[in-house]
Amino acid sequence: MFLAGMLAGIALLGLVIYIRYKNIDIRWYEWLLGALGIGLLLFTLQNMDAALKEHWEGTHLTFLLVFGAPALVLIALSAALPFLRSLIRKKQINNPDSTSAK
Amino acid sequence: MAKYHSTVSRRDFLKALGLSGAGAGIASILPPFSNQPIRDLDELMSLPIAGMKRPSWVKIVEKPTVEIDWPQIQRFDYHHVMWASGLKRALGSQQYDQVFVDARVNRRTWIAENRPGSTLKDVAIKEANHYAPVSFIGPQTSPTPESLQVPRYVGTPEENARMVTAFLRLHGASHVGFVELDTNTTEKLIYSYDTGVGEKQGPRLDILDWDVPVENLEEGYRIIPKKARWVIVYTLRMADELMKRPITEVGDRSHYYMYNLKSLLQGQLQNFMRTLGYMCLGEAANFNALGVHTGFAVMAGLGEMSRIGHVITPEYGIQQRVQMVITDLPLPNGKPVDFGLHVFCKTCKKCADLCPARAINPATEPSWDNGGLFYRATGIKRWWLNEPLCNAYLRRVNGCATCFAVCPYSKRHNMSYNDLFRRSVATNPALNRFWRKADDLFFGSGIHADADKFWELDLPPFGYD
Repeated sequence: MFLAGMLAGIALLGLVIYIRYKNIDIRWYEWLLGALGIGLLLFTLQNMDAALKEHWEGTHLTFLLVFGAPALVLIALSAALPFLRSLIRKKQINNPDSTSAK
Repeated sequence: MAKYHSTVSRRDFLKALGLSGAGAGIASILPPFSNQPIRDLDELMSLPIAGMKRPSWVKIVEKPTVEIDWPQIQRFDYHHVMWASGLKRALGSQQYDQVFVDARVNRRTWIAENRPGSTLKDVAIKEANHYAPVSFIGPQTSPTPESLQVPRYVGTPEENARMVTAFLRLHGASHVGFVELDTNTTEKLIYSYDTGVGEKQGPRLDILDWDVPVENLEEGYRIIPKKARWVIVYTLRMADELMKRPITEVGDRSHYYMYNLKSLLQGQLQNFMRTLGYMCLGEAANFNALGVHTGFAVMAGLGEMSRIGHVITPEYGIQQRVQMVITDLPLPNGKPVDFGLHVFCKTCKKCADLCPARAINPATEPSWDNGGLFYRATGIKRWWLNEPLCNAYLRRVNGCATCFAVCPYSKRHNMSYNDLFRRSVATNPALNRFWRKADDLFFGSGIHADADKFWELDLPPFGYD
């Protein structure tokens, strides 16, 4: 878990540096979705690892399905929303008449 | 230009992070205090093992969660329990004898069939018992303060509690608690007749205003001096990997090896107390004697009473044996705890659902009505088991304890899920039904079906970490 925590910390630091460098606009709810997703993913990984240590057959897969899948959805959403927004903005910049016409 | 702040390059920072991480990692796997030799008893008492820190969601309460009507409680005769003469009386001689015939046939058949968990090597591990001699008075082999020509040890009740806890935990106990005997309440948890040999009536236990304990087995009595007012109650944890494989011979070892340890530990404790200058009256039987263990464990605050009548602790669930001694060393009086278990048992019922003998009461509410049966105590509101059915079944199959295996509390603490579950039960009982369903979803019955896999496991000492 120590290693997982350290890797998660480094990944988060890298993400923040990347976001600042690229000047990506991220809303508060996207941070929240991402934090929830990462928290749920760490919870899933910890429980899967412990379930295997305790010789619970199949339990680790149930954890993966019940907590891991929503965790990935949340993380994907938090990454996709800023990306989609930047795509829309790019379209608007390239085609300024499309908004003013409306 | 002068540097007003020390600068660290990104590379140095990551290097330092890695080194400190490695340091923390190594520190976490080293045994605690490995570089601190214990020089005297005071240092031993100051170690964290001498006091057990309970989880924050365990509440200390004035009354136990199980309802007790103390005026109705009578001191119980151990002779009536199923492990003494109770089963024979309840079933009748013919049926009783048949139980043991069935047990022998089952054992032979299952060995011949190579049934997983009940092969010859599994029978061998279960029967690998070796007990140190246990007695009421103790081994009496350590020096006394008189023989050392020194005054006896004197400490405050709190110091004494810490010392006894340090001693017991060092020698293998998990929980240690204390109960001060009160004539109108807790003293009634001492048996009226102690455990006998086999089905024979045991000696009477008299609590009298005497200076020293007396044992006279020819005339059939033991005397507990009135000045011995404190009960030390402790638990010995059982291996999860054995417990999780019930209705097998190997699974049943989980109980016996802790009774083996108890026989050794009790004598050590009695000798320890003797050298301090105090009496320590022990159980004169390998399994259960002297008093109602669950009752004392509940009153001392080790755990709560469960649907099956065993104590469940917040830390290890149902997976421990409870043992006791009586002493005149002054000790503080423990208080019961509430971590939501009793309420959880009302909705969970997993043990009742999966009991192969159908001997566990599935009613939602516990009852005062003991059915007037001779083998049941009075004055306690509980879920009454069908004891003869339970005991006959587990003897027939040479060991059951399915209820231990399936209990949602019978999980280790590796999974953060289980801590979340325990915390929720303690603080938010409205979610209890959800947690039972979640336990079914994640752990199924809670039983490890691969009984033969036990032999391939790389287990830590005593089978638990």
